[in-house]
Amino acid sequence: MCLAVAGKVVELDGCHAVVDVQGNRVNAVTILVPEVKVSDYVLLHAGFAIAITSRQEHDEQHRIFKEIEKHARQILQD
Amino acid sequence: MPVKSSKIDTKNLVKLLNQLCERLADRPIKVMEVCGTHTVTAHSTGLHSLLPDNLQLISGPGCPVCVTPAGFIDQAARLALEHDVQVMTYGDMVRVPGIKTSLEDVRRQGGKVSVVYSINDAIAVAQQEPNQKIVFLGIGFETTAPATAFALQRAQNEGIKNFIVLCAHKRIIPAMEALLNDPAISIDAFLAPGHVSVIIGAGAYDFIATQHRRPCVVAGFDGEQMLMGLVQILTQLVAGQVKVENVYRSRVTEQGNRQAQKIIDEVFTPSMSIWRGLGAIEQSGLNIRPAFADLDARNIFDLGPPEDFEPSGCRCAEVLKGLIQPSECKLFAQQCTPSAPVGACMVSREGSCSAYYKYHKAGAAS
Repeated sequence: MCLAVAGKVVELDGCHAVVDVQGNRVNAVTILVPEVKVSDYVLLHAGFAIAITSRQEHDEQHRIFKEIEKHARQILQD
Repeated sequence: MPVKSSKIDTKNLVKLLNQLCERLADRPIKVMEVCGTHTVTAHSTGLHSLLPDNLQLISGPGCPVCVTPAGFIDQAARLALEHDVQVMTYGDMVRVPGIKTSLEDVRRQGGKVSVVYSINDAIAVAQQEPNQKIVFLGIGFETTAPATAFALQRAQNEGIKNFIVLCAHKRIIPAMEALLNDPAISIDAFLAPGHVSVIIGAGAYDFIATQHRRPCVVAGFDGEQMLMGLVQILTQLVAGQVKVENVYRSRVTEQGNRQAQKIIDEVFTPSMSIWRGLGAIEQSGLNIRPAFADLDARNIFDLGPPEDFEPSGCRCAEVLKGLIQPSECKLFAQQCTPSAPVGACMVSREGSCSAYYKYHKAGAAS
């Protein structure tokens, strides 16, 4: 039930947005992310944007992976 | 823009996990996830089969459909059949067996039960049909609660008087604390849910490290995220550390979504709540504040608190606490299947028994 999908805000009118989710145009309420702007990427859950996400999410995930790997190796060497 | 993790070397993560577990080889490690989406990902990606022998990933009470007490379904059914209301709900609730009936049965009997993707759709129907009372079933954890809160505020502000909520929202933190305080349950660490954490923030889990001295790592919903979370948990255990970490930092902040927390506080107040399988847990539910009493089904109709009930032989309660595997229940894959579920954990796609049935039935049922 807590499943959410990410998409790009393509239209914004007050607290109502149209979000492009992999080519589908989805209506969303943006009351929970009042700072959102057109072209931001948001996380959508049950018709509500619940977070603004980073465009560089992919790279950030990789940075976290490298950090975890390095830390685990250090602990294993101790 | 889903999180694609193609640059992540999962083989290396599995290797690290094995090396870390070898350091703790004399100690069985039990990590609990409390999120139905984690449950499904762990089964669908084959994550369980990659875990070292001394590491067990167990599913806790993370499926909101599964933990909603059976009596709640009967209350919703009564509203549809005896009070001529239209019940609107998220999909999975329709097939959940209550004590006497399910909403699917109600629909067969001519009761009005509809499924919506979003509570916004329920508001729209209420506006289009002002003479029809709409009762929306407010279920789910903190991820869903802000949407219900917003809808109640909107209905009040816009004078949509036929929009009513029957609330059974739950708060995950008191349930995690109840599990940690239960002497029958031994959990070495938690893998915390990604999207609940978007709302409540990673900082909400600090008590797990500071008071209960267990590691806790927030993780997203793909297999790589879960693997990274498990490596971090094992790294902490090998290093003798206990802290809260977050591998889902691209979406989960320390403080969470303050706007969502604010709207939850404006509309709801924490209350004792009954969890299917776990019983009553203080502060684990959300009651609608008196300021919204005109839109609260519990105030409008004489319902009382929902009863808890388990069908004879059903061991969902033990499954939800991570005490047994679904296959240890005698009903599993026999009398209880996804097409004819007996217990709530078999109904929802995110229920432990349903996921176990889908991905392991052949081995489990034999």
